[in-house]
Amino acid sequence: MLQLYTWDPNSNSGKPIFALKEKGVEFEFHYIDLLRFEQHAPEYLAVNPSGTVPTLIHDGRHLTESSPMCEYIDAAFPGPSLRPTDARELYLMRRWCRDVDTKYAPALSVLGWHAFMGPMVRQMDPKEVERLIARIPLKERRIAWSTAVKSTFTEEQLQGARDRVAAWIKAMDDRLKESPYLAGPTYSVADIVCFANAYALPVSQPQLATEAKAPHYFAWLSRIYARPAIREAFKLGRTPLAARALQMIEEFGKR
Amino acid sequence: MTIELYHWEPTGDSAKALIGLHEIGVAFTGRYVDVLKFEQYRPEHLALAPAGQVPVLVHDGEVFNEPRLLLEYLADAFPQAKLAPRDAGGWYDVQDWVRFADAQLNDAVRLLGWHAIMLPEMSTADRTAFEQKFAGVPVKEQQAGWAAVVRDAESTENKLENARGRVREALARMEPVLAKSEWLLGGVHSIADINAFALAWPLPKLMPDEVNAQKTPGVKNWLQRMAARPAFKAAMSARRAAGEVPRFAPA
Repeated sequence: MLQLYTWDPNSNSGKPIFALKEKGVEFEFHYIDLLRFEQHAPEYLAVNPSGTVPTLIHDGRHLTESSPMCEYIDAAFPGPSLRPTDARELYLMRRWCRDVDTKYAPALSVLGWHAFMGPMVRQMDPKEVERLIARIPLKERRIAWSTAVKSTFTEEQLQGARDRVAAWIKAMDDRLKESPYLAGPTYSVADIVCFANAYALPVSQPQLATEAKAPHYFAWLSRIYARPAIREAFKLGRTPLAARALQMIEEFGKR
Repeated sequence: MTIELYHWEPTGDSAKALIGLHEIGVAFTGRYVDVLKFEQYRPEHLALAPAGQVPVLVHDGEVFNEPRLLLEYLADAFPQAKLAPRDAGGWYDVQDWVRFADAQLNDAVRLLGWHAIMLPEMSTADRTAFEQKFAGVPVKEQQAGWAAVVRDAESTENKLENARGRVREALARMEPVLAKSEWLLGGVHSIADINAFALAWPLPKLMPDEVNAQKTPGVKNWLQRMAARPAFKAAMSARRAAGEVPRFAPA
C-alpha cells in the first residue's frame, strides 16, 4: 500500500494529496504535525532523514521532492492524466512548478512565518525552541530556523516578499487570460502546484489578490475549488487552514 | 526544423544546453552572447529573455528561456535520443538529481570560479570599467549581484566557505553513487549526468585538495568519462575565450 507522510493540504504538503485524490489512488495517510515540529522527530527522520515533508513511499522507493512527486504519481497510476503530452506544454508545466518552488513559495513562507509561525514560536519556552532546532538535520534549515526565531523580518524583506507574490498573481492572471489552465487546455501538475500555494491568497493577502486586479486567477480558483478531489483533499486537513479552504469551496460554489 | 541556441562559454547552464544538443546530434545554430560584455541585456536579447537569461533555445520559432529546464525539454522533444528514462521512477530520479545539483552547485561553483579564475585576471581599471557597465543592467535585482562580486571581493571568505560547504554536500551524495556505478542513475547515462557535469567539471581546478582521484575517485572518474564523450568535446568548440580554462560570470 502506498504510504504518504505529509501535513495539511497546504503548499508542498498539499501537492501529493491533490494529485492522489485526482487520480483516485488509495493511500495510507500519515499526518505529520508541522505545528508540533513532528517533521524533525526521530520517528519521522527514520522515514526521511532530511526532515522535510512530504514523503511518498511506493514500491520501496522514497520520494521527497514534491513537484516531481506529482509527475511520478501521474505516471505510475491509472486515472485521469495530469500532464500534457506536448513537449512545449510539459516545459510550461515544469516552469510554473520551478518558479513556485524557487521564487514564490519562499516569498509566501516569509509572509506566513511573519504572520503566524514567528509569533507562535516566540511564545514558546526558548529552551524548548533551542532543543527543537538542534534536531533539524539539514544545516541550512537549522540556520534558517534560528534566524527566523530570533529576528523579525525587516519591512524591506516583507515588502520584497509582497512584491514577489504580487508579480506571481499577475503572471498567473496574464497566462489564465489566454489559457484555461496554466500549462495549456487541461488541468495539470502545474495547476496543482500553483493551487497548493495560491488557494488562500484572497484571504491571506487580500490587498494583493483581488478579483478586480486578477479576474482570471479568481475564475481559475473557482474552477479548481469545484473539483471533487480538492474537497476530498481538504477534508484531510486538521488546521484552521483546511477549515478556511472548505469554507471557500462553499463560497465559490455559490457564485 | 530550425534550432538556435543563444549561449555563452560552455560552463554552467550554457554547457548543459550545448552538451544536450550535441548528445542528440541535431543540427543547430549557435549564437554566442558575451555575458561579460553584457550582451544579454541588449534589446534584441531582452526581447527573447526579459531578465537577460542565457542560454535561450529557439525551436521552430518557439522561445524557451528558462535555462534550468532546457535539458528536460530536449529529452521530451527528442525522445528518440533517449536522454532520459521514461518510466515514472527513472524520470523522478532525473528530476531529483537535476534539482539537487542546481541547488547545491550552481551558485556555489559560479562564486568559486569567479574568485579563483576571473577576478585575478582583472586589474583595478578593469573592475572600474566593469562596475560602470553593470550600472546599466536593466534588471534591477541583478545589479546587486554583479556589484557584490566586484566590490566585496576582499570580504567574501565567509561566502566562499559557504560555497565550498555546498559543494561538499553535493560530493557527499554523488561520490557513493559514482563509486559503484557508471552514471548517476546507475547503468544509464542521462540528462542527470549532463546537468551535474556541466556544473561540476571545473571542480578539480577549483577545489583540487578535495576533488581528486584519492578523495573522490568515483566523481573524478565520472568527470573523465563525461569529458571523453564526443558531445562534451563538441560543446567545448563553442568557446571563444582562449585556452582550456573555464569561464564564469556572477550569479
